[in-house]
Amino acid sequence: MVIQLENAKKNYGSFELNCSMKLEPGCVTGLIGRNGAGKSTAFKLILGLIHADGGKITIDDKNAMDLDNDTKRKLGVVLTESGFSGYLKIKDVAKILKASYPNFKEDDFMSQCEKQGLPKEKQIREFSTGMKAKLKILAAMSHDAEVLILDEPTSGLDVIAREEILDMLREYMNKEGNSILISSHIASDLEGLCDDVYMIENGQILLHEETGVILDEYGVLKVTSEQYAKLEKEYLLCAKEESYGYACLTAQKAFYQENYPDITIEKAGIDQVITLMISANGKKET
Amino acid sequence: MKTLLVKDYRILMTQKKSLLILLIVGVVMMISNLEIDFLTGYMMMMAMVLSLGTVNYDELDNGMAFIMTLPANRKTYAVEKYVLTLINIVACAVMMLVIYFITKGFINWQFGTGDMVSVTAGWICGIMIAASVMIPLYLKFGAEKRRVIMMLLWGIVAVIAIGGQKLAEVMAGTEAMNAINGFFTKISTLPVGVVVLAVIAVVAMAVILSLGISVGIMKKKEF
Repeated sequence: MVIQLENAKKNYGSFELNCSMKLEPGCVTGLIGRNGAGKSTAFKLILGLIHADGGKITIDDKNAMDLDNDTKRKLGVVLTESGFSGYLKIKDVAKILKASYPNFKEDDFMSQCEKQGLPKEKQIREFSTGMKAKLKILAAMSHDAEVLILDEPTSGLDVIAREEILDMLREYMNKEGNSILISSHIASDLEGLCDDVYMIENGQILLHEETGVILDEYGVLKVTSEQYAKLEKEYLLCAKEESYGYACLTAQKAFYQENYPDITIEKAGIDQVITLMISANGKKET
Repeated sequence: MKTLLVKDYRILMTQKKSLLILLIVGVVMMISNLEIDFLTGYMMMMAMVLSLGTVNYDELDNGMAFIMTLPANRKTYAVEKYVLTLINIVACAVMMLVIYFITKGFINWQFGTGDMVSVTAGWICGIMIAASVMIPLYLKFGAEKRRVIMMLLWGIVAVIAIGGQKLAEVMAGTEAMNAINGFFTKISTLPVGVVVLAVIAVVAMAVILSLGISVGIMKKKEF
């Protein structure tokens, strides 16, 4: 299944989303950005929950606004602030899923819920934040979905609950052909999970890169003003003024290690990349 | 459709207390010697209100967004609310007819079997017309606005009913009133089959028109 946004536009007053991105089969693609950057808007466009003001949004070449039920059955969805009614219990959720998805296995779902310690006799509104998040993920994974579309599935969770959910997602990816589109504002969640990440800020995609490339080839150069003046800037993505001089982001760490052995070069994680890209307003250094 | 119906019935099952209160009020009405026709109408009206109430549950905590990711589209959502309402009021009608047949041996109901069936069918038609007005309003407006609009709507209905009655009193004996009376007299002389078909046609038209409006509302909505 291929999910694609081509110059997808959505305006909310002064905020304008304009983004292009693609989820390939068998991949875990992350969308990372600050709160209010446009992650949920992009997801809502993909799911046909809001009308686009321009561009093209498709799931397997089908317009996202006109998805048929068979295509929808191939999707498992988690939305950050929406889910099954809080008045329902797990057994009710199971019955709804059973009526909706031919591949849903009620017994497996119930035993997974038990394994994750979800109370069967309580209404969902009485669940803790972590329990609600786990239920959403289990429901999304319960019907052999080919793609999971997860908007901030780990939002508001403690480290242990987050790691448990990430483990569930890793297990889901063991099946060939499955893919995940996941958004988060927590970089560490995505580093260990995603094949590639899109970085979004103020409705625009600032960067798209494979996670491995970011971790292996991106670096942060920490230089004084004098060092910065002499630095080859062709391979710098952006630079931010700091008390000691400049922090510069590069996708060619090896070049600077080789040619500038006297400067400090740190490994860049997604957090550093996004922080530098956003604080430098995403402008490429020239 | 199946997804949404199962969801709504699961939600309705969470309202056991409301259903119980509804039944108790019904029993009290029955004991208070209220006629079965009124009781039937009351129970069916409540069945409609409970059916429409599922929209409130869907909207709670932005639940609509998630519902729209299930295998059901915007059009199906609108259609399902009509289907749910119809199923519930018909089920309620059947229940009241069963109660009527069970109790008629020891309660001296004013209505004969034929009258009871006719009255029940009339209530189904009337309530489906009421639902045709209310469903688009439920889908268009949020819970807060909906409350105000419903109060206004009931106010308008009351004004029309009372105003109509007063007007009929004032106009009694006039040529216009005689013409209106003549029209209804003519209708009452028509064969029953024709009247029934005409009523069914009016109700069907109201439901189809309302459904078209509801689907339009849902298609424009953003979640």
